[in-house]
Amino acid sequence: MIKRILLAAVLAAVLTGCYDNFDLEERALCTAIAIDYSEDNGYSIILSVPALEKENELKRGLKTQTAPTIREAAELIDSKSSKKLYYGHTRAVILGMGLLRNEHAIEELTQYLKNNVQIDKNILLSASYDINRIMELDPGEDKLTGFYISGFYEGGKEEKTFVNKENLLSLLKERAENRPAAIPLISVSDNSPHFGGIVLLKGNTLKGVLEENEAEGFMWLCDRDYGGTLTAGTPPVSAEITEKKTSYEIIEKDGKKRLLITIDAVGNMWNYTDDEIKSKASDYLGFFRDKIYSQTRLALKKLSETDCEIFGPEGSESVDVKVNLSLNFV
Amino acid sequence: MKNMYSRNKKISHRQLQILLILDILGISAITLPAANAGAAGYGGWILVIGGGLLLVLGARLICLFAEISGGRSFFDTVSETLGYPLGVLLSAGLIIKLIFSLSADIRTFSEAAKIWLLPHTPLPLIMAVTLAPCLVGALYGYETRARLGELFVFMILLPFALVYVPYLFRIDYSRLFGNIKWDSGIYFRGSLDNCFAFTGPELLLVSSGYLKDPKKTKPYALSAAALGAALVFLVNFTAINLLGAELCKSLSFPGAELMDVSAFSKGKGAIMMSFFYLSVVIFAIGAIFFSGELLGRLTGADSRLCRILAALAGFLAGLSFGGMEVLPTISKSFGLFFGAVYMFILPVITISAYKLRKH
Repeated sequence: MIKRILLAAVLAAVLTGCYDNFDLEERALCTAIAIDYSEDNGYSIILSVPALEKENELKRGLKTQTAPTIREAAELIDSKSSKKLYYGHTRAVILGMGLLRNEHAIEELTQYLKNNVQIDKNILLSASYDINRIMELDPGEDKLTGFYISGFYEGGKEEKTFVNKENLLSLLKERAENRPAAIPLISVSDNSPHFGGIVLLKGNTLKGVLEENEAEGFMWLCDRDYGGTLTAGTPPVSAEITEKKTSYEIIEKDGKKRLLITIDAVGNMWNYTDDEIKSKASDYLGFFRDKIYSQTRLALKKLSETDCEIFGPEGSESVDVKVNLSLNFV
Repeated sequence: MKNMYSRNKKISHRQLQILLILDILGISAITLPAANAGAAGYGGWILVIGGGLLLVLGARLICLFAEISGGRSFFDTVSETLGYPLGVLLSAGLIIKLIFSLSADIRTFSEAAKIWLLPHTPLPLIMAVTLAPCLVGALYGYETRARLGELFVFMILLPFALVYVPYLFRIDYSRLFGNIKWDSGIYFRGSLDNCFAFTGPELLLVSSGYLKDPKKTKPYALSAAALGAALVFLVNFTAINLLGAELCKSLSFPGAELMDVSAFSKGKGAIMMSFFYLSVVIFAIGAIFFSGELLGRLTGADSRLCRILAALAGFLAGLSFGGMEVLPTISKSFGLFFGAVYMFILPVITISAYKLRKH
C-alpha cells in the first residue's frame, strides 16, 4: 500500500509539473506587448505588466528592453523581474512600423507569436508609428493597458464602430494562404486610441497603408457588420449606421466576369424637423451614398495598386459597387 | 492484483460500444486534420466521411469474424480456420500492429503534453509517466478497461460539446465547397488513410473472446464506429474550415490548436489533457492487454509478464520515432498495410474459409 501511495504521489507531482510550477502570486501577468525593430538597435519590446502595490493598489508597469531577437528581449525582461512572466492574459500586440517594414523581423515576430503556447490565438494585433505613445496611454482606473486597447476594438455591446480587427489566427491563416492581412493602424488622439488606417501585409512584405478614408472604404467592402457615425455633405451632417451587410456576386458583363459588391446599409438621423426632412431627405441620402461609394472606390484602387486585391482578383476596374442605403429620420 | 475486475474478463455490449468510440477517437482526432488538409486542402473533412464509411464496412466484417469465432481467441479462430502457420503469422503481425499503434499514440500525446503543459520535462519521462498507469490498468484485466471507459466517456465527450460544437456556428457555410478541388484519386486514397488511422477496429478484432455474447456484437459495433467517426469528423471539419487548410496542414496538432481559439482558451491545457489523456489511456490499456495476451498465447509465457514486455516495447518504439515531422508519414504507411490486412483481407478470407469448410 505504501509503495502504491508513493508511486501515486510521484506521478501526481510529475504529471502536474509541480516541481517547476509557479503560483499566481509569483507570476507577472503581461496584458499587452509592443514590438518595434530598427537596424541599429534590433528589437525593442515593451511589456505592460501591472503590479499590485501597497494597499492593493494596482500600478501600471511598463517594462522595456532592446535585444537582437524578440525572444532574447523577453528573456532579459524576465530575468530582471522578480516574478515569472506569463502571457496567458495578454490581450493586445502593438507592432511598430519599423518592424513591419523589415521582412526578416516580420518572419521572426510571427514565429515567436505562433510558437509561444501561452499567447492566445485570438490576441488582437495593431500597428502604430509610435509604440511608446500607445503603451503610455492612460488606461484609466483598471490600469490594464492590454484590456484597454482590446476594449477600444470591441466597443460597447450595442455600439458599432468603424474599426477593423485583426487577430493572430487571421494573420497566420492569411500568411499560410498568401493572402494580404489588414492590420489596423492606431495612433493617439486626445489621450485615447484613434483608428487611423490599415496596414496591408502580404507574406513578410509591407504592401502599403490605407489612409483613414480608404480604410473606411475597406470596411464597407468587408462582409462584417460594421457601423457607427458617418459624416458627409456640405455643410456636414451625420447619420448613425445601425445595420450593414455586404454581399458578393460574380456577374457577366460584355463577355467578361466581374465582381458585383452590394452594400446594404440602414441608418438613423436624429433631431430633424418635418420641413427639413421633406426638403433635404433626398440630399442627405445622396451625400451618404456618394461618400460610401467614393470611399469604397478609393479602397479598391489602393488595394489594386498595392497588389492586395482582397475583393477582386483582376484589378479595381473589374469590380462593380452598388450601395443601397435607407435612412430613418427620428 | 486479484480483484473483482481482474477475475471478471467478460464485458457487456454497452461497454464494448463505449470502448470502441474512445479507441476510434484516440489521439488521431487532433493530428488528422493536418494530414487531411495536406492531402485534400479544404476538402480534407470529406476524407473523414469516406474513412468513416469504410470503417463501418470494416467493423461489419470484423463482427462477422467475431460471430464465427464464437468466443474463442483471435489466435485460435485464425489457426483453426486458416491453419496453424497463418495463425502464428497473423497473430505476430497483430502484436506488431498493436505495439506500433500504442507507441505512436503515447509518443504523439507526450509531444503535445510537452508543448502545452510540461515544456521543461524530458520527453521520455512524460512517455513513461503516461504509459505507467496504462500498464497498471492492463495488468488488472479487461474488465478494468471497460469500467474506466464508462467512467471516462463523459469527461472525454465534454470538450466536444463545449469546444467543437459551438465552432459549427462560426463556419461560413456559403463558402464551404468553394475552395474544394475535386480529385477522386486523392479522395479514395485519403479515405483509406483515414479509415486505417482509426485505432478501434484492431481491438474489436481481438475482443470477441471477452464479450458476453459475441454473436450480438453487430448493432453495437456499427453504431459505435459511426459515432466515433462522426466525432473525428467534427474535429476535422471545424479545424480545416476555421484554421484554413494551409495553416491547418502546417500545424502538428490542429485539433488542439482549435481549443486555443475557443472561449475556453485560458484553460486549454487542462481541457486538452482531460480529453486526450483519458482517451489515450483507454486505447493504451487495450493495446497492452491484447498484445500481451496474444504474445502469451503464442509463446506460452505468463500473460502478465507479456503485458509488461508489450508496454516496454511500446515505450522503446515510441522513443525511436523521429518526432512529429516523420511520425504521421510512418503511421500512414504502416496503417495502410496492416489496416488493409486486419480490417478487410483477414476477415474476408477467414469468413470465406469458414463457410467453405462448413459446406
